[in-house]
Amino acid sequence: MYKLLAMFSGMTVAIMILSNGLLVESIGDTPALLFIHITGLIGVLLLFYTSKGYWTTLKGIPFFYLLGGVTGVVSVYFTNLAFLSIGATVTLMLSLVGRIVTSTIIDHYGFMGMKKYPFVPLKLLGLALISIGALFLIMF
Amino acid sequence: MIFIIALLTGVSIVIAMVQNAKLADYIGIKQCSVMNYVTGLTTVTFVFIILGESFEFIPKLSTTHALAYFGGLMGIIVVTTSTVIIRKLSIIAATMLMYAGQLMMGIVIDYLRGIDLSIGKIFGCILIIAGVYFNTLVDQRLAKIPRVDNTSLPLDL
Repeated sequence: MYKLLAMFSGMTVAIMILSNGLLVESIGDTPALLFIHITGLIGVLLLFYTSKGYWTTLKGIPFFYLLGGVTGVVSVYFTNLAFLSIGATVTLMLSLVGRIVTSTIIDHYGFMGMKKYPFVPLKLLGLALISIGALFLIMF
Repeated sequence: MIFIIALLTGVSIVIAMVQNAKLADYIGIKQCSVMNYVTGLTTVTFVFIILGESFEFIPKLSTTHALAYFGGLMGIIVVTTSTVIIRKLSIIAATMLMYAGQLMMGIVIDYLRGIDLSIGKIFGCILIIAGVYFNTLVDQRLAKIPRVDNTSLPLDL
């Protein structure tokens, strides 16, 4: 069930990239990001209030955990930089390597209090399938 | 240097998802999505000011393709669903299934725009799903084997 939701989430990413791409073409990088975040914030606040969300204090939460939105923005700028200087294919490939390695490390050690999914040599087989699959996606 | 930045794009995507997942542990998914946009917008506003961007983009918005207006709203779905799944699946399964979904939809979008279906891409998606499924099976096996936890050894041996 959650696996299907993960794929649905990825599908939404694809449409999001398409529409954000149109916006960037029309008004440029940073204005587009500003527009996206303003509309997103309005939308998310509407959703929050219509779904009867309630505010919880931010006291006692490690500061780093509050910065997911900042990391997201940094990620977008990194991606733009890389696309411009080394092209889409190499960027996508290296980005994927970064994703796989980081995911595997955090899964194994359970960094930041995440649930541990220990790495065992057998998983290299699954990682190999994932990597070859990803290569196919990028190369064809 | 630029290669490291390209690597970091992937690293930062994962870190952002983990940060959101942890934040959701404290304040719930709804407020976490709001916070994500608050901190994101603050950052973009700073960049906007530092780069000395102007508001001349506003009139241009009227001539923009209608689909372009909805990226921010779709971002809400992405942030919220990715926070839900990363707390339920291993990170590698969550990120790779998202990736496969993204590429599958990419194929559909290409097809709608008149670009030919690529068998290689479809095959790639199948391989990724197979790999994720295989490693999930390994995780389920591991969960059944009782493990000796070294850290619980008494210290005063």
